Amino acid sequence: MPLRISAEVELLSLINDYIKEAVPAQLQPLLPLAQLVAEELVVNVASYAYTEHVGELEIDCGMVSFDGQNMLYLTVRDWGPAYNPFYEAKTPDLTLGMDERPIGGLGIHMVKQMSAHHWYIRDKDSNLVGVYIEPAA
Amino acid sequence: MQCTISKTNDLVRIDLCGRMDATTASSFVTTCQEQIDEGGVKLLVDLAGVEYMSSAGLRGILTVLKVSKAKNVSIGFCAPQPMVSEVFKISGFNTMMPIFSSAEDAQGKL
Repeated sequence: MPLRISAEVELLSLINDYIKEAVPAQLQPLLPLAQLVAEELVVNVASYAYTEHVGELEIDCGMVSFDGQNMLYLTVRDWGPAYNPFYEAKTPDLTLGMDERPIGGLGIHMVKQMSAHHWYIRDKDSNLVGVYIEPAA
Repeated sequence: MQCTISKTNDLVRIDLCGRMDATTASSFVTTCQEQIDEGGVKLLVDLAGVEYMSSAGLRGILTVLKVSKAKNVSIGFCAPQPMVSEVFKISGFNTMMPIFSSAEDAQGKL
């Protein structure tokens, strides 16, 4: 069952607890990755989706069989203006040295790197982002 | 996340324990900033107790790296767990800052 809460970074522990309950026993090794992906997506919503008020987000997590392979799925929905983070977020230059590196901008990059598949749809008045995380080969 | 400080000669060692995420990374930055302000010239951050790190943790580390450089403080990190090592690798941080396998390995190299 999805978790719907206020889009505030301070509520991250609630999301971590939800993910911990939602990840099935056979995919427990993926728990840190699932929590990482959830945190990055939630921080993204908390930072960009609502500028004039604190809105809500809905997160869902569970197991899915994808072409016969068991994977974790994770979705995050918000009701802010249309925003595809996978398209809008700049690709960071990982070759830059410390002096040239901007602070931040790595969250969505990490989501992409940690997931097997990622997707976005504008669903009526909401943004829905999803990822699939697969077990290590 | 807990930060434990120990000092030997000119080396300040900061042992971190717990999760380095969007709600805790700022305490790491504050701790490092305090040690730099108190005159620390060599900082070793022991990550052996850090079980989880997100991009917020990386943001905190980059902030500390920039402050350290501005203040001529030498800083290194040691003993990351596999999850943290993976985060360093996919973000390119593994080639941007000194990371030692252990606190012992860092001796004399900062």
